[in-house]
Amino acid sequence: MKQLISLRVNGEPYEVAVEPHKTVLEVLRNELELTGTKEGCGGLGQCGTCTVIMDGKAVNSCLVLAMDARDKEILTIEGVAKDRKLHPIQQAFLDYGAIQCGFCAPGTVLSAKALFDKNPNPTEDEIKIAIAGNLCRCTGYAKRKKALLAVAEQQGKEGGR
Amino acid sequence: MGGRLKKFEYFEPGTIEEAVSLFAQYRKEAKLLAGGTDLLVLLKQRLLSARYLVNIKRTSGLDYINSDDGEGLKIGALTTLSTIETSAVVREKFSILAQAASKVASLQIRNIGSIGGNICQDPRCWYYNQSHDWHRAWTPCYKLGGHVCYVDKGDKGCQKRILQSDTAPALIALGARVKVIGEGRERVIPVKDFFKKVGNVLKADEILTEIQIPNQPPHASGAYLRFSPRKAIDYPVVGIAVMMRMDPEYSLCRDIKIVFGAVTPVPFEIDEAEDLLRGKKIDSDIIDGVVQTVRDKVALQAISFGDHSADFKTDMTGVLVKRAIEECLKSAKSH
Repeated sequence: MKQLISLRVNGEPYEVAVEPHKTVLEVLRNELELTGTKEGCGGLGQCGTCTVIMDGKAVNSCLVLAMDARDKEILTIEGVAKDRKLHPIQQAFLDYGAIQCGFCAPGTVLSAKALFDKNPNPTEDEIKIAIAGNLCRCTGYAKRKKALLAVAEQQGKEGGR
Repeated sequence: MGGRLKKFEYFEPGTIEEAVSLFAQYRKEAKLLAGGTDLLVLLKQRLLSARYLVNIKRTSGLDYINSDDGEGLKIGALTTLSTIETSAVVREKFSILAQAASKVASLQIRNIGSIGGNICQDPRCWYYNQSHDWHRAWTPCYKLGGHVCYVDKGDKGCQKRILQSDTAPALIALGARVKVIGEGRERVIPVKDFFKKVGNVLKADEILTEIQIPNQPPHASGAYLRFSPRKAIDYPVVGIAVMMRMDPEYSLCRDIKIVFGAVTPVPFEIDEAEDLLRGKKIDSDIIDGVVQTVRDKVALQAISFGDHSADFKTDMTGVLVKRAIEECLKSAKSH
């Protein structure tokens, strides 16, 4: 039986009727038509491309029941750019060529954003840990690390550190 | 591909008592969702089925870390692994547990997965934990209703699935216990006795609700190390937890626990290696003896997992025990 849940996605309030066996990933893609969040490994938590930020934390949306998103705040890749301006992480991914096919990018950007939101000037190790759960099959890991280190350096300067 | 969840009847009990009574009623047809990172995968792969799903994520009284000078540390079973790895008190006083929690899977999974679930996770093997389509290419194993074990052709049943928990060996090394609540009763079990030949001792109506860790004596230090093909996402192929207590001058080893995870179906403590170290000054000769003893004991019992043969795992236990003891000595000296 469907149940009505309220949640916020990318700042917008939603009320959605969901079946309890649906995951956040399925509701985002199929009900809310936010298809920026990808499914890679078949919903098994092995690839990280379905990563969204829920209440400030990066999670695999394939492993969270929609019922557990009740009254939560979710950020998907569609909500990262503001006023048609890319987020610094997205811009850095372009500048450093950290995107090829782009399938892992939404999840990776959100994993990185969850880190930067808490820690504007992370170390290389902190960056690596934050994005270690996001598999990439074509660009590789060096370019996205470089991109994120550049963001860290930029934000570190702006933060006066 | 993994697939979708099948429909189930869904419950969100408000209290632990309500949750327990659901399990008392529905027994094995009901499945417990805590973090969900293990259960949802098993359900999607059709390795488990749930006619009833009992979601305890919003059940009160399961998510906390309480530290007490007298009683030690109490952790609610629903506490996420990322909360544990970043907890100031865990990092400071029980660092081996923070180390173990921080090595599980990926940050996204640690943000969801619970400590209770990490202990109660389903034991795995390279054949069983695959998709339905993958299984169809083979004659089914005992666990899937057939008459063969692909891990050990000599076996007459499913006895070689392995608990690949990172936190369980660390908790055993810390002397931790778990609180278990069933219909009208409650028991506290040392983590080292929580497991049986394959799997754990939980009865159908029981829920693991709390982890209790005694305060550690002065001059104690611990290390959790693991080998896995990739640092992230993979389960451990070999995990090792070592807790060491030195004398006040940091010259003699007063006490030590050496517990391996993922090598055998359940965590494996090697008393003979501990005996070699207890009361001794630790030098390279002693460590060499420990490595040999560990390898000899592990060689008799190690179980292969896919590409990782029992011999390879035996080699890794020797490497890791040496590193873990050295880590303990290093962090003891830095105190």
